[in-house]
Amino acid sequence: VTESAPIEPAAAYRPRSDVRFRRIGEEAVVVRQDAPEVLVLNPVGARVLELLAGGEALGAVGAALAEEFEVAPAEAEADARDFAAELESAGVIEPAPEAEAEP
Amino acid sequence: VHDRVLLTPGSGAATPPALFAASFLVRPGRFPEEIAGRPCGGEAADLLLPAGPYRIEGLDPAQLRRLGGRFGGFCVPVAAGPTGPPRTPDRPDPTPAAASGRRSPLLGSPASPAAASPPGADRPVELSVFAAPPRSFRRTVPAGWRYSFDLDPRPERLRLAGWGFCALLERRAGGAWRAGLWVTPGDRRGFLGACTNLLRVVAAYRLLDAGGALLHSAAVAHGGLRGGDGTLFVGRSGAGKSTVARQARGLGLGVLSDELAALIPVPGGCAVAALPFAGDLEPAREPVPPLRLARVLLLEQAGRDALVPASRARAVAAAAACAPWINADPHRATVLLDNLGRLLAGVEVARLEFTRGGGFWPLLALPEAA
Repeated sequence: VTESAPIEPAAAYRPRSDVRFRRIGEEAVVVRQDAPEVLVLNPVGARVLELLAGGEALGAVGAALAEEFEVAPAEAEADARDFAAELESAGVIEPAPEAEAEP
Repeated sequence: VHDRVLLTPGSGAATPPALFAASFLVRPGRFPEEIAGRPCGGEAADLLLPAGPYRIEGLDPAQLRRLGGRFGGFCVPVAAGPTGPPRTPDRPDPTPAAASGRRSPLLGSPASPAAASPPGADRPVELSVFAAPPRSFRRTVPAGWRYSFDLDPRPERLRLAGWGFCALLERRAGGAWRAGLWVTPGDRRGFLGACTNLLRVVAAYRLLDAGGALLHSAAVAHGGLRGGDGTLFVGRSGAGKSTVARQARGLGLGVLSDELAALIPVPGGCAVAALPFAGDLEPAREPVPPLRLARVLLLEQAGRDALVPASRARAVAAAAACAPWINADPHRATVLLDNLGRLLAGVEVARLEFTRGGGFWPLLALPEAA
């Protein structure tokens, strides 16, 4: 079991400027034009990206996942954080300016 | 969370603005700002490509012969129009079909979804050929250069520069596309390469406007080239498209494409159409009506032959990765994804793991050609 770092509910991310994406069914297709590559996100990843792109902070994303996927809030929050970290690592999202200003 | 599909490498990428045309033009800063100039000649032709036609004006007689030789029945000479100043939006366009006395079998019908496409999508593309002084273009080949051209996409215009040519594509008032191509009149071979490359790009943008897409793919007909159903094999360069097309031909199946195919929306689904741009096989010489697209197979070389179910998102991703120029255009990539999502909505999709020996064909249950 991996110990999770505390979630930063106010952390916000946005798609990188070279990223274009669309929901296709429950999944999402992401074009990274600078890479260049295309990614397919699973339903949870697609929803996380969609919510982040809509301006939701990580805490709100976790809450939405808990409700929509019917999982425990703590588990959903951890998933939101993990998915956001993976999307950031994959070059899909980056911290939004407000998040960068967070202490 | 994610699965990766690499984009088609090569000429699809947009060129950084600071480097645009630097390899090809002596003075990149003098790139034409508007579509105007001295026509190479007074000849004109319609190219009957999907989502066309595409009228090419300002040709000299040798250029017209070259086009006819290259594009065969896709190229229809039309009565030479007046040369001089290019048409402007306040000068109505002639209808190429009426001028030529022929109508493209590939034009969308009024009832087709293409008719509901952005303004101008139902109007012909005009391409004017202008004479440029030979000193405009660089003569030395850059070290390590592979044939490609520079692309600079903007919201309402697109600039291209390549070996011996430059071109400007812009959307006019009303939404129709218009293109200018500058070449050295005496450079016959260079003209054909320049014109063909520009037409590929113009077709990609034109198809996008019509709700369709241009894809690197092999297209095979089962049930005959006229009235049959189409199977599209999607894959990057080297994925096996030409191998599949060659084997299909050997099996007596119709082959629409081994390199580039057009997807176009039709009532109730999607159709696949041939383009006169080929890879290793001879390009199509005559336009044929589009075929209903029944199946999209994502090519994946493997040590076995198997059909593996794939999601629509996976198919859209693979197709987007094989949509040259548009997938790299920051202003239009989402339109491409939207189009592909609609086009593939009712189409069977699967991943084809295949060996190059052709053992996969029985899995596809393609009936023999009539």
